[in-house]
Amino acid sequence: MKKIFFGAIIAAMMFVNAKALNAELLDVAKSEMQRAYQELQKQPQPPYYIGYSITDVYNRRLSSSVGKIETADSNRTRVLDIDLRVGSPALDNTHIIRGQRMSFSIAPTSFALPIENNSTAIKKDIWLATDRVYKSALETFDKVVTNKKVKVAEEDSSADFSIEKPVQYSEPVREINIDWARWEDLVNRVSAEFLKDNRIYFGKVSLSLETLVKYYLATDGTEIRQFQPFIRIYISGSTKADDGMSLPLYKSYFAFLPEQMPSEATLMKDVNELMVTLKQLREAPLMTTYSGPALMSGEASGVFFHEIFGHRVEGHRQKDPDDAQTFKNSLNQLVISPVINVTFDPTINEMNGKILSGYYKFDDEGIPSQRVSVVERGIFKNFLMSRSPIQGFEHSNGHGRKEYGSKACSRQSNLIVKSEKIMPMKDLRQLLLDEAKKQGKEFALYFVDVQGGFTFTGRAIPNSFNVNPLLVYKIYVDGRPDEMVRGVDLIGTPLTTFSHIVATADDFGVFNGICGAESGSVPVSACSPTLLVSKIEVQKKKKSQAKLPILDAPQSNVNP
Amino acid sequence: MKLFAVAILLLQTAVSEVQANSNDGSAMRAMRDEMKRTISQLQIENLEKPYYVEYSLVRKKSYAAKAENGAVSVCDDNEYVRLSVNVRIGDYKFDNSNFLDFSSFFFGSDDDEERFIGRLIPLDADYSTLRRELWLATDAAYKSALETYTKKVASLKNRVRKDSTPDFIPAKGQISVDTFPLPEINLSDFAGLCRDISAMYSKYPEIYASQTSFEYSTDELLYLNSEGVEMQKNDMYSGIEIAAYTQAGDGMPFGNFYSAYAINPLDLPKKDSLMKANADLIKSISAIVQAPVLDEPYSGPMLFAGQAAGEIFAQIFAPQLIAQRDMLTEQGKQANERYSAFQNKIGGRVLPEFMSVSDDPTSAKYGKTPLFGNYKYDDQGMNAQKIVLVADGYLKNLLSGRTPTKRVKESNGHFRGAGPMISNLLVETNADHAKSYADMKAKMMKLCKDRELPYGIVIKKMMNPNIFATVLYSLSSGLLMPKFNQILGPVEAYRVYPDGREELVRGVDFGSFSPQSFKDVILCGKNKNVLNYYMSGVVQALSFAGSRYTNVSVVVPDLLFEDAEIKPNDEDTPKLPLYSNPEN
Repeated sequence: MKKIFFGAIIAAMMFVNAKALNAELLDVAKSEMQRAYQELQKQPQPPYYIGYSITDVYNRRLSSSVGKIETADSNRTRVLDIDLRVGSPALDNTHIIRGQRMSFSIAPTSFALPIENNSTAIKKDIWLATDRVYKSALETFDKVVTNKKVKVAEEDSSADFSIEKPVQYSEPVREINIDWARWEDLVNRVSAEFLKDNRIYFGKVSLSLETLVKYYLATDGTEIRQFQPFIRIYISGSTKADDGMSLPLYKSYFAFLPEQMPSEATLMKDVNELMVTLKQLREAPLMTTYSGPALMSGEASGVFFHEIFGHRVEGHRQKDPDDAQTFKNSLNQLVISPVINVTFDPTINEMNGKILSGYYKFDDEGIPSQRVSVVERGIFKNFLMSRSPIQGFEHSNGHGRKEYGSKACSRQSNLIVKSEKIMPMKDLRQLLLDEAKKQGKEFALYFVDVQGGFTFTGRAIPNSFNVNPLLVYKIYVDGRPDEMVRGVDLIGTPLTTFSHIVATADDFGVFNGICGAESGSVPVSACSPTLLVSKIEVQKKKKSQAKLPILDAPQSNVNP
Repeated sequence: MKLFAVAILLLQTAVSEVQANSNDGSAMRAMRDEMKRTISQLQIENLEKPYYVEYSLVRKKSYAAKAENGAVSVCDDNEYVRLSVNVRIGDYKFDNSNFLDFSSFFFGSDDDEERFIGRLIPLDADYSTLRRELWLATDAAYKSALETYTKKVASLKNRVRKDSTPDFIPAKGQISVDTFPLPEINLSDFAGLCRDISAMYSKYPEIYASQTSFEYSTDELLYLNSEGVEMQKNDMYSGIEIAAYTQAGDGMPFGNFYSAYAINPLDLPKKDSLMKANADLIKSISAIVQAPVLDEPYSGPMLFAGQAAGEIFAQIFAPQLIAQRDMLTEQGKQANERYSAFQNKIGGRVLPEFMSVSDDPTSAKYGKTPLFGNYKYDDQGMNAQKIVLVADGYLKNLLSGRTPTKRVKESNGHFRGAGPMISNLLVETNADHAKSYADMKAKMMKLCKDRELPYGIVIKKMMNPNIFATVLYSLSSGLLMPKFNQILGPVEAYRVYPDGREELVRGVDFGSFSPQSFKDVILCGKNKNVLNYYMSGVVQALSFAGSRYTNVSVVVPDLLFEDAEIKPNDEDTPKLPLYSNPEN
């Protein structure tokens, strides 16, 4: 494994280099930003705001397939994203151009910078990039002004940019020490477990470390340096049922620091449990369509809330005329059972001993993260806000987020669902059975584990959501043992489903994941107790039509 | 009988060598064992068995470093192992190949099939891991081949097929070994080299953006097919590219570059010579941005000298020399229009009678210059062969792999990557037409005089499409955009006046230029220009891996065309930066 050793040397070298000079990067970028701002004031339509977001990205990945290392690499990049605005905060070049199906402008707002801190090189790149972005901002602004004149008055006439108090903050860049040699051996041993089952065709374990040093500086005086490490481990296995259905299962772990990583014993135990479940799934009967009551585990409920609710309270959507704006007119109205509270809290990194991956100190527009109470006792109270105001919400609440390379918009953080009326799991289960009987059902469903989901919030397509379960049980009303089933997705439309939440258990599940939307992929979490929903709907999952392998697995003992 | 004995002998010597070279030979053993099982057992009831199975297992290591203005921007290496399995159903005359299934090409299968092309394999797979991977990939390849075969048969059901060219050429088993120690490099040394070269640009604020990059890749290939063709070979390729972008005073975007490629990274030019080349490049850019623009179209004699002679030949003529099989589709035949000029031209004249062209993968050097397209065995395990393509102006042959075309019935060992490809193309001239630069220039001026032209044109450097697309496009944030289906304009063009004075001009685009234009070459240079470059795939646009770049070279003399056209670039120009460079 010479390769890894080599990678480590490079990484360490660059790291020290970056560490020694990081303060300088901010100064270099700042002086070039100020120069650009001053120089461009001479233009007839000068910028009123320039924000530079610079991200130092370091990635190191290790993945193992059935006992052998498959990839082991690392890379480092530095990305500059420019938020340059002309016009005024009331109306600027970021304003939505209505009626435009697609923009064919190729003008970039994201640029690669050298990874070494050489002020001449960095300044030159920033100069050329800023000039480019300014020119395209001018073009866009002209279109915005005309578009506003030729179209009907907007429903939401909010400003395009909120004025916020600039913040200065700097946090040290630390070294994240993972014993890669030990982990290489460990991921191999864990993924080798999959070899014990000949019908598991895919068995991988991966470990990745991503560290981000995020700089944000703007002409309003904002100057921030944040350090964000993310450690992720995935165990994934996949088998096939006799009817060709692919059955994948995952187990993922998230940590900010090496000491939070799972132990070898945990990984071994989990991979073996995963394999047992895979085998059960393979033999489980195929579920068909169903509508009726269901239990959703905390993790499943978290994802469910993230999709049906979270994406609909992202502020900027409320002024997009193409967005369905589900909750725009629900302010101070009851939208869900009055025992439910929903908050988004990026200021905390753990809850009940579980790590929350949607944690950050400042968002990607330089605003301190804030806890936002969105639903209080069933009543809708607030949106997640970036610096793009909407009617009645003039300021950011620290949820303007993006992945490097994208433009920030309002996004979710740590979604936390809490209930004021909780009961032991046993009672909730009884309530489920009662509900099923009442509805004349033979069984109810229990969603234990989910893979993720997706939703549509636009007006042009039905506003549905889809949650992809990995593990579902039938709970029979006549007392037969619970039965694992496969082959369904949980579907529905948000408002109807919301109104069917009946009760919650006294437990708490966390789903740490990555959410993808227009501003790229951002780490989020979703936390919830187990929910009882009186009516859900499932539809048949798309099924692979591929046959099982024709020949049996080769016998490895043939090895001479 | 005699042949047979030789084969046995080869087998014995080579096998011992294979084992000596690959750690313990277990990978090849796994391939042989799974191949044996596949051939004897793999079959879905009532459907055909495979008649041909092929495994390629390649370990690829890549190193990349980039720098700009004295700062490193990329310093990465990676390594992976990929397996590709090719299964054929039917027979050599008619099988599942040469059929383009649009729906699966564009949308793939949504059935969660195992990957069988470029399938990622563990880095240190042992015998049993590899058997397992081969098993899964072969299974998927077989199922997919069966489906394609059925579609192809169905598509011909209601058509009368006129072309009965077989689909695949049989080959005899042979064992080939071409391994050698792959040079180890220290990437940070090369990153440092890029940093030092690129640092020169920090002194030239008038050059807006630049990039110096180093690349080195190695492939270790194990190949086996069911005919008994077995091969173990190493490949490597490396290069240094310097590209710079700026705008002239009138806003015209302009890019220029320097490139050097070598199979062995240790054969790349050394730092001193790179620094000098870079200084020349900077000097040339400064001269060009200040040069006058071409103000009127020109049609008349034109001299391509140095790099430009190689590049014009590489872009226009070379891709035509590759045999192309028309693909069947559900809608009928699909021909590759772009490079089809010579497909039915064997026996016809394509160059003046004083010029000949051959392709020779077996030569490693031209004089002292290393050639980039050198190899011993192609990617189908066939022996590399020197092929005469054009003799005394007449087209004799095209470069081929194991897929026959109407006119080319056998492989001449030129299958590389995804299809047949050139290796080292050598253009030769009869002595009576090989002249010095001065003589060629004089001849051009005489022709100009006859046509009452005030000046002639010399092109000394042309843009390389690969560097344009992979570097300059992004370096200019899209301001340098390739134009659809057009050759890229010259980088260095000169007006030559009757007194011999050469005047640099910019803003030049080519008029129409076709493979037939080369019949108008009236003189060649005495000296040969070696152009090493990465050539983009000329296999049909929609077939597999058409975008792959392959290491090749052309060796071309200066070329005097009797008639060629250039015209002014009359596009709108982007505005200059609105405020000055930080170093000004």
